Amino acid sequence: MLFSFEWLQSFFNKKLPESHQLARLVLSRGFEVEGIKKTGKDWLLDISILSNRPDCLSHIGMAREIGAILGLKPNFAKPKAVKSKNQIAARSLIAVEIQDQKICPRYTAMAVAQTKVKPSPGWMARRLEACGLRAINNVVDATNYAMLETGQPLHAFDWDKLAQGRAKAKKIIVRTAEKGESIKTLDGKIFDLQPWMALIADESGPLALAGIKGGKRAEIDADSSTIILESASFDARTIRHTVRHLGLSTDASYRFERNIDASGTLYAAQRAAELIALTGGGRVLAGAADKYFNPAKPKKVILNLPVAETLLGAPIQTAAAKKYLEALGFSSRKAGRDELEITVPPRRADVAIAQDIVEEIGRIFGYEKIKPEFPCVEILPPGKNYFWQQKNAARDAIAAAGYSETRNYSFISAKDCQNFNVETARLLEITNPINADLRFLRPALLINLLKNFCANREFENLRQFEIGKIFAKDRRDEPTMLAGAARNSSFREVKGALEFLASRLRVSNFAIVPLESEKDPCDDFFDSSCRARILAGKTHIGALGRLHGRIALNLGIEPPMVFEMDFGLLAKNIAEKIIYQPLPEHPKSVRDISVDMPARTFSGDVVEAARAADDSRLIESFEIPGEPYYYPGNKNKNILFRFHLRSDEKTLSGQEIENWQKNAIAAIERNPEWRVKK
Amino acid sequence: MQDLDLEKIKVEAKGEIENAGDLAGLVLIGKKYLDKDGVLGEFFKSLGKLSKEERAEAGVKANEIKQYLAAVFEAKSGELEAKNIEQSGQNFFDTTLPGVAPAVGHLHPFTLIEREIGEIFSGMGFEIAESREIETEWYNFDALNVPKDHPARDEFDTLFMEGGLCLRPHTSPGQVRYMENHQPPLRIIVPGRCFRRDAVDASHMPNFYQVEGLMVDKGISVANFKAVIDEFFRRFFGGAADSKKAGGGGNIRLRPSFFPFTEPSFEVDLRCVNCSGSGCSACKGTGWMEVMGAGMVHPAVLKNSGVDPSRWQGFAFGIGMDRLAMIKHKINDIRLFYGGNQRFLNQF
Repeated sequence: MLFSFEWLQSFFNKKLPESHQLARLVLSRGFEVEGIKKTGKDWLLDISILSNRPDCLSHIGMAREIGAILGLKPNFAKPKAVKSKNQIAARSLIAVEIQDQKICPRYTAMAVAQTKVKPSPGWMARRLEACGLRAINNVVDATNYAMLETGQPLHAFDWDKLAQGRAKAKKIIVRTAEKGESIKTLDGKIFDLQPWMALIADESGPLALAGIKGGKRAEIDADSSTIILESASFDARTIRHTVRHLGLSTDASYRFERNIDASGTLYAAQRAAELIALTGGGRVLAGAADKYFNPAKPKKVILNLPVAETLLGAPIQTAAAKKYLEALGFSSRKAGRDELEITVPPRRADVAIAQDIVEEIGRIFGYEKIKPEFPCVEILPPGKNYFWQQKNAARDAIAAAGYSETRNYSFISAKDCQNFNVETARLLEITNPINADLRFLRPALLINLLKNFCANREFENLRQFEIGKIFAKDRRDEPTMLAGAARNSSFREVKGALEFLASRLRVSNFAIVPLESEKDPCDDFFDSSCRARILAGKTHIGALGRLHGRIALNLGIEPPMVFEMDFGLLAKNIAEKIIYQPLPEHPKSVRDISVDMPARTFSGDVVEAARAADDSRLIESFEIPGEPYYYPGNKNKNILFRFHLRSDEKTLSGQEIENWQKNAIAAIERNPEWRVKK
Repeated sequence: MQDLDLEKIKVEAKGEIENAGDLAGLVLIGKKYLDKDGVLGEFFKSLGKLSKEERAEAGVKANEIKQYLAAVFEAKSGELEAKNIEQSGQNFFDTTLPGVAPAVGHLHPFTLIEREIGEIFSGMGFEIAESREIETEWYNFDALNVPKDHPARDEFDTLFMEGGLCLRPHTSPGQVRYMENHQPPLRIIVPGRCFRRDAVDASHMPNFYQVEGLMVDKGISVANFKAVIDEFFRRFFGGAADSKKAGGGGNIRLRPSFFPFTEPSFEVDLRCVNCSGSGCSACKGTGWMEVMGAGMVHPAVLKNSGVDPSRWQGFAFGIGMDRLAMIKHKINDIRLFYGGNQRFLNQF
């Protein structure tokens, strides 16, 4: 809200600090000051009022804060009382009927007669416009001025335009809207109303959207002379829902949504009436038609001073605390040893418990005066977060394998779903997305990760990964995934990187195996001729392979190698400790076996055959040093297998190795399609 | 007589060898002295004329000198050979050739920052906890004392889904979830991804990171919070922040604020790490940078989490990690963190 320095100053006899210094004080003791600017001779302070402090959406409220901060007493002049003697009472012109006291706990109506509607005097128009409100005429301006001063929104009706019922006093009715009812507001817009919306009406229909905006029908115009002033309190929730439903927010609704104190309506009405009479002449009618249901009793809070001191961590002088609280409108009395009973002013709905009082004391005292002090607690080291450490270990390992870490959006668009052939029906959808690109939650990390590959074209060997959560309707557990992609890479390289990752993480049952069925769930992303699944033990945790050509085409990239796996499942298989394996005592021997086989043979099957025949368990490991050689015609290939042989018990003799090789070859050649080259 | 000759030979030969200008010359000198027909060879031959005793003595002496000269010869020969190679350019190595980088990937700056934050707080006894990204309204709002139907709820700009679910707009629900399973005393930080209904620009992202902090124990105070947070920033920004003293409080400033889950509540400003508080463009001339919201945990939050507020109290805070990373590395556009620009990642 914009505050006029000169207006604030008007409440004090003593000179306030200059505007910038005042802004700094307000900033450190109360509210954030967003900006200061000069306008004419005045300075404007743009102060961001916290949503629990509607009492400060007014110059009086802010002056009270400033008074407390500076230890100065502001003067809030009472509007001049209207002598009732020989005066027509407001109630003879206007009566108030509240049909639902829940939506309107208080409605105060006052009347000004025989006034003239004309442009506001310069001082009033200047203050309003400085604070961001357009000056319209002295009556409307008086209501706005009183709102900026007191925080209470007001509205003015032209009495002559109100429906005349049977009684002499015209009736203002506060009720909910009827089915099919609509209202034309001051700006000429028509709103269809819902039956739960609060209305101000007369006996012939709606006059105003309660607490939000006035209607056209009883609008003040140049000829208005009898003015009815509305100063009321409305249910914050009803206002809020109506504002949201109609998309119509005003200075009044902004305040009502924050729950304006009902006890201040009469004061504000008196102030506005006084201003109308001052600027337009006429007479303020005596009294008010004031319906006030169940005025709240002032809240009382017990403040235990030693407890308050331990919360702030600073000594509190009782006298100082009392002074701060009194300046803010709280009263206090001694309630017991070290205890004060604090009475909370009704405008401070935000204060309900002792901690709230401590905040008031602390902030006016000044948080900068609290001396920092380390807590005195047991120096127990913190518990370990294994999953956190595992994720970090995985990041280090996969980065060591050449992949750079990315963090990508959690959101995907409908177009992404199309590009990746993802059914939107299974996705979690944002009901209030900011735009269509951010509509769904990612069901896989690869979708956004691969978009990076469109952008990083100059990196020929781009390798990136991400660890993050994915979402789907049937995955409320928010699985943490690990996904990666590699440009200009081979399947064997990616497989090697993942095996390296598994070994670094101490996952001994990690395996990459051929896909068993076409129906495998993860595999729409992969080229059917180059894909495999990732297992941890018997659990299927992910897949790797070449990106499906169609997806690559959609993205406009050459298909990279990609993988994605459930990192949470992988982590479950991480061995906590490294257990030392005794070092081998006997030397190793190496034997190569070169095998011709049909092109579509898995080399792994050949190794399995050799292992099956390895009765004395001599195979320590094997490798395929080169790439398969494809014979002309591509029907057959040759693979060189290199077996590393070792015995735990002894140095192998030439004869034993010879026997092993004979057995292995026989086992391999048991398959009629496989031939060992001699 | 022979002794005199031998000494003379030794001195002369050594001098000639050491003065040799090239290998060819050295070989000739070698021949002249060390060959069978050379000066020493001739000397050995001449020994026949001597008596048996004299012969033995002179022989020993001559052999010693021969070995000595052979060593001098070898050393000179090595020296001349090295000089030769050097002159020919055979052993020249171009050490200005660029290094070949190992094909190692880079970690995301957030990972580095998360680790650093984790390390500092772990050192002060804070456990690292993580929490869900999708939350129910209970954990996200109700348990945190955020009033229903109040503008305070709007301030979170929350993204919602069907079934009363939302994407957490802050890491504070992690407080409740942790305390449901852990009684005080407790100290945790909860780093994680959050979401808000913010349009993308240089300083806003619909997804971003926060680090929640929570300490609940006996008599934990604002003074304690100030010391812990000041120390955190002192470590995190190194000597850039003003205060040199541990927990001195000079790096931070608390301003009153409102969060429904803390009471009292503060905004925490960090003394500008760029200008140390004198005012610059990074802090918009104020000398301070807004880096977190914090406060003393509201008794209602403790109660809603199953912790007795009459026995325990504490502080909580939420740091914007993106902002810390931007301040630390002088990054002016938050978008760089998201979307895997490899040139950007290569700097970390």
